[in-house]
Amino acid sequence: MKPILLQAHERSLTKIRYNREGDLLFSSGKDKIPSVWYSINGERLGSYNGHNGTVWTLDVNWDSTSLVTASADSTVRLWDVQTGRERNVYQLDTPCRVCAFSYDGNRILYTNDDVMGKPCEMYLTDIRASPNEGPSARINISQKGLRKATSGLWGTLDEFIVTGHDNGELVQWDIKAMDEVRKEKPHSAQIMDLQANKDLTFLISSSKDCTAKLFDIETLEHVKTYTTERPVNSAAISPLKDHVILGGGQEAIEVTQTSVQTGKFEARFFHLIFEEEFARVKGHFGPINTIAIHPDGKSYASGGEDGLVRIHYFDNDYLDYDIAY
Amino acid sequence: MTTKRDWHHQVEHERIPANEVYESDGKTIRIEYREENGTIYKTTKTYRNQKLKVLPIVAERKKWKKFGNAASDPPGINTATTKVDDEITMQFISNKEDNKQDEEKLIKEAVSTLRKVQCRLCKGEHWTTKCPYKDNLQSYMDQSTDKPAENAPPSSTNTTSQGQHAPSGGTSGEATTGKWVSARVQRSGAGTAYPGDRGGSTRGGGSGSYGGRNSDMRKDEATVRVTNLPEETQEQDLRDLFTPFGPVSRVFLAKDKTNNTSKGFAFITFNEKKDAQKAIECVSGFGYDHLILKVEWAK
Repeated sequence: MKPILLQAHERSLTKIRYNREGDLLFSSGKDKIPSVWYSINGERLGSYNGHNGTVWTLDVNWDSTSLVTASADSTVRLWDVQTGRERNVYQLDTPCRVCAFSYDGNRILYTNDDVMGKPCEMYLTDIRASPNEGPSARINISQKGLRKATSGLWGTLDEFIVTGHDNGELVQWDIKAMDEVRKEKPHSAQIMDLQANKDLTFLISSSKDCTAKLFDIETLEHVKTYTTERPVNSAAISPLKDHVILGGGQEAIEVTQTSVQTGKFEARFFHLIFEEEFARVKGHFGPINTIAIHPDGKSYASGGEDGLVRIHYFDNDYLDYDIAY
Repeated sequence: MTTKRDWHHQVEHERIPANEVYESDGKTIRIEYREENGTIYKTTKTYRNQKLKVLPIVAERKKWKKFGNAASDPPGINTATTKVDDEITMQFISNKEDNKQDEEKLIKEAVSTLRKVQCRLCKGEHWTTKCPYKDNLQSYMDQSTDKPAENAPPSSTNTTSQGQHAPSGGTSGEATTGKWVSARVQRSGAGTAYPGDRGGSTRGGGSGSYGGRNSDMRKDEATVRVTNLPEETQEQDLRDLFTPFGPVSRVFLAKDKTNNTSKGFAFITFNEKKDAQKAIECVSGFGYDHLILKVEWAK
């Protein structure tokens, strides 16, 4: 396959996401400008200019009309996908780490970091309300004795939220009760990313402790573990096959001390059920920070510490590949 | 002459054609011209035009106007932000990683056995003096060996005979055995046979097999190990360095698999032991590219 290289970001990537149909690919990086691309040919559609700091994550709603971004400039911004205009700004006290659209696209979840003596808090906001009304719900995560939230997503039927934390904890929050209902500590180090499968029944967590783990999203029951020998920054579940793709690599801080070959900057393909690695794709010359699979499962994109996004359209040798059992 | 060339250049400069874009059988061909350092480069880019059936909403979105930093981009891809990378293949693995780990393990083991403490009596991983069978075996040794000085060298191929010839004094440690080797080699360099060895080996029975081992041993003994080599060292450098002492039959330079640089040590096999001895005496402590070489008998 010939990957398509997207080189608009001047610094390392933090998050890439496909929209529901998979024709648009959104990317954010440590430079201040998130971009949107046509995934089919890598043509850039536009950029969302306005943030004044690292954009940690982004999410797009189901009909690809709104985009939400969380940034280290202590704002969460809502954008019009088509025109790149800013719709709303939610100003917080400290850098914002997590943001996610609910499945219905009406509510957003966002969190901020516990720095400068401020607690880590989680906010839920209805985007139809005016921003000066404030968030519809606010949970003080630090007060509950939990560490900083580093990733989060909405669960089935928008009934609950799952957050991943700094110390490897996975917490499920009930939205109506606004309280934690389940708490697990499956990882020994920071959870870097949480992604759900297509029908929101499973979620996969990636952690600095060199593993990615698969959970039942409702019960947080641990199902599978995918083990590598480097930190895992992102993992995605294929909607087409029983595969997961893991991205990671030597930590950025140690990259200068290793050669490309020993850094393990490949995207690694594991069988969902057998937990066995069966393929790798090379290309990045830094750790992979974020991975997303196209909703049709026939291509995937990865964004790395090297500032590049690579879109890979699978060849038939992958699409025909099957583990014999 | 020069004016003519300038004129020529000028015309060339004016002749940079405009970029062309045309379509032919399902492909868009874009020809671009640019000048760099007086030469004109022509770049032809061929794009395959593809018609896909997509959802209406997706088709609608494909018509959206570009905005933000992409607002001034031409229709189609902007080559400044989008490129097609070289062909890569997905590497399918079937326990490849395991094999690799096994390999690494083997290498590690091999390295560790070089340093491992080995009892000369029972070949266990302890010093000879601490051997639990010391009393039994040693008395046996004393019968078959007359002098400790006649003992076998600590060459790795020679471990069997080594085990039989434990010094009755219970000398242990590599440093002492190392000394014995050189003493023995000096002796053998003078062309003498190994009376002590042969005497000891009578226990082994078959003298034919012993002879074979003996020649192996000899080869080993003409091998020196060079350590503290600079990273850039090539095999040829070592040949150049060691051939003055005598004909070199084999040079083995340990290299890093990934970047092909020297790991810092090498084995040189000479045809003659006395050449090897000479090399050790001369090159050991020799300054080579800011490093001081250490040359010793290969163990």
